[in-house]
Amino acid sequence: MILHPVSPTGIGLRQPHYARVLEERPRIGFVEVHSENFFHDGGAALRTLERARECYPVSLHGVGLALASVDARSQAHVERLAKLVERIEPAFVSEHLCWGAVDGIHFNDLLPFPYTGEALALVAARVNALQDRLRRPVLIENLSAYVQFRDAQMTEAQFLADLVCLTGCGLLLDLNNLYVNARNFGSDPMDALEQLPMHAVREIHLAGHAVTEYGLIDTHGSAVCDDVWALLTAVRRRGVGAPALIEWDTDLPELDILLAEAARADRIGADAGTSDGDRHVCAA
Amino acid sequence: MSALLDAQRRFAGALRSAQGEPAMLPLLTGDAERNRGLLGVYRGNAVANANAALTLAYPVCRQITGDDYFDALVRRYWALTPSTDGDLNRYGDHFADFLDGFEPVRALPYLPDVARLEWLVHVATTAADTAPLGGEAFAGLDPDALATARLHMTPGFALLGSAWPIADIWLQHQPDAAAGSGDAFDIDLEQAQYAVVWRDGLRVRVASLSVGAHAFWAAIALVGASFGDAWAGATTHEQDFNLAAAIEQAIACGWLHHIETRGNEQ
Amino acid sequence: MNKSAALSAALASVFALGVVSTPVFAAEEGKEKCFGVAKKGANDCASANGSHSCAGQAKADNDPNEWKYVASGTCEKMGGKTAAPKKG
Repeated sequence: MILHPVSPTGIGLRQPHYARVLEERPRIGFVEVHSENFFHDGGAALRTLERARECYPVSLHGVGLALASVDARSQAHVERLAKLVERIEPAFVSEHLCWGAVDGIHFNDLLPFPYTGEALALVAARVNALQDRLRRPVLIENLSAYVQFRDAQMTEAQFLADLVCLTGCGLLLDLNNLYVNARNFGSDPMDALEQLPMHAVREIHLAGHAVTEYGLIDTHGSAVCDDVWALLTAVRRRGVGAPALIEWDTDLPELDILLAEAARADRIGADAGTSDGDRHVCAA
Repeated sequence: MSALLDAQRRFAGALRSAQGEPAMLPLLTGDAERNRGLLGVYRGNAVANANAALTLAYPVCRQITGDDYFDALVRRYWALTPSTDGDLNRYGDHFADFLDGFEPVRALPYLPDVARLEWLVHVATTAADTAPLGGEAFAGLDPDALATARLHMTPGFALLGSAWPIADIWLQHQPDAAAGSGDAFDIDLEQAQYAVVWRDGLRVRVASLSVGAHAFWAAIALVGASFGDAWAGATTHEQDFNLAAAIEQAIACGWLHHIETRGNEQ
Repeated sequence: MNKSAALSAALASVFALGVVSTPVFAAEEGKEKCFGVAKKGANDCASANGSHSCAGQAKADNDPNEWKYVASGTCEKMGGKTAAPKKG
């Protein structure tokens, strides 16, 4: 039987690490940036991304499209993204399952919404339009949400499974988000993994969170916790070979810390891919 | 109304102000008191994101006011003028106008113009990369053609006239400025200045211009005046305006993009 | 000197520049790396700073008439924070 090879792990590329990454070119699978930071006509940041693209595959991760916003006026945003995609030729283009703007005000945050049929129809139409414009599939990321809605008709995992069926989009599976939600809402993250269409996972996010009086908050400001590493092992044992990404935004540490986290993710992928006891899970 | 739109409007109300919480809480599962705190987390995120964006666009204003004052200015600005775009790089274009009208800022009367200058710098940072015109472009022109020609400036080029020493204030707040580390700045607050902003390769530069040079470049860049008309205007502001020096500076700094002669571009 | 003569003289001075200095842009990459100039992105913080911006901060400053802040940055190094408007 043939096992899926596990793609090498990438890191989020942030400004304090530009110089070292471009000069030392560490062995990583890819780099990921927030698309909106490069919606420019020119300048040093865009030039830096073009330099990075000469060394690595690039993933463009959007934080501003807010696909579930009912009255989104996002056409100009889509056009700026399309221009960047044409320029960078990224390996992945991704966005979040969230809303962010209403009545002309943009909150520039990743906000949750009730998972209803109405929302599914809206988001599916937006994802289809986006994919048509970019002429490529996009990946949609599960969200860390701190509140849940009474009107929800399905779980986020079911919502994403339907979205994949309706649009053919891929999934960006954020294991820290999955974990944060499960802990905050008292559910089992393994249940969400069961409901999500693993065949559609094209990228995996790994990040740290903060423990606060309000529960776990998805800060991207610390190392990946052991429970999230265990989730990565579980996902690898299900035969998911999609590359993982170390996502760190707040209190950014030295590059070496990110590279060590990436190496750990690579080892988990290698171990799961070679372990006899796990081979059966790839049969499907 | 769509249930989804209703939920988003209620959520937005709770993000804009704690007073919006009562309308939002019934939509949520779980303990109301805990949800109140969580809505506060979201509200804090919205303000913090706006703050991060304005701190990047207005670093000199932040240095001038100090952190606490600047944070408070941002909260007030965000309350009056929230973001309207999914790209936070575009947020803050009306900050100077807000400062103009904000009573407590009258103690720092130069602050609105500092903000205006910083926004021009912010915009220039991401302007298109272009190859500026070299001096040889003038060699092929006869004086008559040059007199009626129009000059086009490189992307990012901008001018700002102020009643305050706006260029000096900005320059002395840069990380590499010698004066910034000392006890006092070498700034004469009585002096009005004309500032010019431009892209020097990938860097953004700021300098001060004489009144004549400002009039000359403003006529060219903002009004679209011909070379000859801009020169005539400049000499009314500054009798011995030095045209050759102005052109030399423009070429050395890379301000010029192309020369448009009558019926012909080159 | 009449106006057109003055313009002619001024234009002649431009032509007299001869070989003027080369624009700096062409030499850019040799002189300075793009990643040394690039600024931080404004969009890196979405959903990432909840821990230090919780309800307490968000609920502050609710009274629009209250302003209890005193500027305490470099304004003090520029000749006083209470400089009066003098022009315009």
